[in-house]
Amino acid sequence: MAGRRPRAPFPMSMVFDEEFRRRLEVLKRLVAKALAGRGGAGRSPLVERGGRVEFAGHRPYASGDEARTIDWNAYARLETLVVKEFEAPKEAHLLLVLDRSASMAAFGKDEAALRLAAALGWLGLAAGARVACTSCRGASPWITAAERFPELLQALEKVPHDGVADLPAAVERAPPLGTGRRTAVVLSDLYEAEPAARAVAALRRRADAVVIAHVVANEEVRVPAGEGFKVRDAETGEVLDVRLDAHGRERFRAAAEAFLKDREALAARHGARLNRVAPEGDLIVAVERIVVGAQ
Amino acid sequence: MTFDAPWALLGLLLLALLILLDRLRRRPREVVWPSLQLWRAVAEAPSAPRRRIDLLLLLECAAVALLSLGAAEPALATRGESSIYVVRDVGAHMHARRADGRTALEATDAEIARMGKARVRDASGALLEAAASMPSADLRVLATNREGVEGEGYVVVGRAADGDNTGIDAIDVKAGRIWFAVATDGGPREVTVNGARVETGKGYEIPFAGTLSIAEPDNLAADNTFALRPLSVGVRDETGSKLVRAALSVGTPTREGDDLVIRAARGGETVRGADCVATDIFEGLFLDECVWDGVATREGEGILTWRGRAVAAWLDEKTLWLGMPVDGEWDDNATLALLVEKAKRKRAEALLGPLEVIAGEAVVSPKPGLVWTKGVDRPWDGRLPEPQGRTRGRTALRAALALAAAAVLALYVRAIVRGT
Repeated sequence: MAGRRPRAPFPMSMVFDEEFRRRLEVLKRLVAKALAGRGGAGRSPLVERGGRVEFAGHRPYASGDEARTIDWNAYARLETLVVKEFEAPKEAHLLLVLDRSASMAAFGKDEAALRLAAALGWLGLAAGARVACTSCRGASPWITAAERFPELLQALEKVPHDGVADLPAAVERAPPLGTGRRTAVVLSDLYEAEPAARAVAALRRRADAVVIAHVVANEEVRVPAGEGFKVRDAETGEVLDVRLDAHGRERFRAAAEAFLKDREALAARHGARLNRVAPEGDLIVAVERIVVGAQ
Repeated sequence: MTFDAPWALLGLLLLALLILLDRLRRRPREVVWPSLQLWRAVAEAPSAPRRRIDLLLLLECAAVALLSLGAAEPALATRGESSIYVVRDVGAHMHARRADGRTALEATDAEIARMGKARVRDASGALLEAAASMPSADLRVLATNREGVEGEGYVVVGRAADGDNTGIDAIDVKAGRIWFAVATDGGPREVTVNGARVETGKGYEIPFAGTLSIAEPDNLAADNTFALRPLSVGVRDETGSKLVRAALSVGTPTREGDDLVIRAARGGETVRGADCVATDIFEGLFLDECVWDGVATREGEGILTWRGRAVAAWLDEKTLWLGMPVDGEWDDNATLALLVEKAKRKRAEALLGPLEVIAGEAVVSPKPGLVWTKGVDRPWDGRLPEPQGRTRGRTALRAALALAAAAVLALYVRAIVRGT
């Protein structure tokens, strides 16, 4: 099957339906159990509940300070009343970097990416993380609390389609990440390697972990049936006349393999982890792989 | 190579359809792809020169061509055998001399000789009529002197009685008309048919009498069928009158159930039912002297009704005797004798057996399948016997076609499996 033309936006209610949510609930429990089974060493911002309170230092006691804040051990040593100060709780941040270029419209990749983003956002919010989404056309503010998940859905729905992928711009537009654990998930087909590398590098500087959901359809990298093709680039509109003889088929196969390997290498070079996501596959499984790996 | 079912060659038109479909199949498909990245590798690489004809298309075309050829029933003429069949009209009218002094038959023979090696089959007018409708391209019908003859044809009828040379060579009877030719060496003469003076070279209508066939139901042949017509021919030349006393036409049947009417004409004599008639008839039909003794008569005509009659058949050395009961009794005199030519005798023996056969209404035969058809069926379907070499050639050709088709099929399946 050849690529399809870009489609009109679809409502997020269809992308994130009840059945999908129910499966995510199950997934959330399974993932938590799996992580607990690792002795707590593996933590994921997507399932880690609440923020941590960090000790900041001492200051002299002042009238009105709560007695429970007094550091009695310090008083014993220093014979003066000091109170302990703590930093504000640090919340985990999950940034969803969406590629909604025309290339994502083919083979159902766009829908899969949105479902994936919604699922990750839901899990993040449920775990108490702040979640935002960004694209090259704009970004949402940080959304907190699970009950505000519909806002995230709306934000995802509002992410506009764009002709050409520009992941660095999407990263630039992202709201500043907080001080807690910061995780960025890039959802893209990564056809433009150099901009993708720049975007991942920029994210790596800002976030503790960068995960790439490489959304590529199986059909897209499989040699299509037929011999003569007029192939039009979904993003640029450029048309290429191609004849797929046995030799051409072999070259297509090799090019597809090289493409996938190259993107894995790109991710590794920038300390990111790449998960291949095929729209034809089970997205819940893809979510599980991303979440469990995003420690 | 010839084809028995040439219409099947229309199947070759499917080749054009296959080629058209192939062209459509090869037309580039327009597709939208997320990126041209993977395709550029294909487009930029030098590809093998495009084969103009796809192997599968070639095999499909070969299969269609073979199937069409096979369905057309091809046949190969064996070397040394002629592929030309000539049906030569030996009817009496072919003996008539034309303005150039030659008979039509002589002209026909000359034409046959000019053809070289040809398989010649003599035939009556009936055969010619059938042969003319034969689709086979290698059959030539030589009948050049048919003017004035219409309708259904009959075999040569008769000639002068008692062996006298009355100057009449032969007479044809054609569907209610009579055609005859007068020999040129007889001098001036006057010819009468059934008492009426006639001019030579013209047709005259005479009533139909009946037919009799001896044949296997699915293997009717004209030479087993006899059309019977009452006929008397008189010829008067300078030496005086000589009368043909009676004649029966011998030919192919037309209608079922007609009465056989034998009219004995002896000059101005009154014809009586018990009159004895002796007529020597060309092509071997012979009436015994006393055949009509005791036969029921009607106004001077001997009447034998075929329908519903039991028939007895005898076959002796030279003659096929047909007998009928008269007034419910078998009468040895009420017989019709057919002088059997050597070739016909063989066939008659094959049909009737060597001994006496008594047949009833539905004729009982010593051989299964033998019936008296009374001439209701077409005597000859227009097919000529196929030479053995041709049969062999056809068998070999069809076997070769079948083998080729099997090979094509195998290659096709192999190509599909290999994905080429």
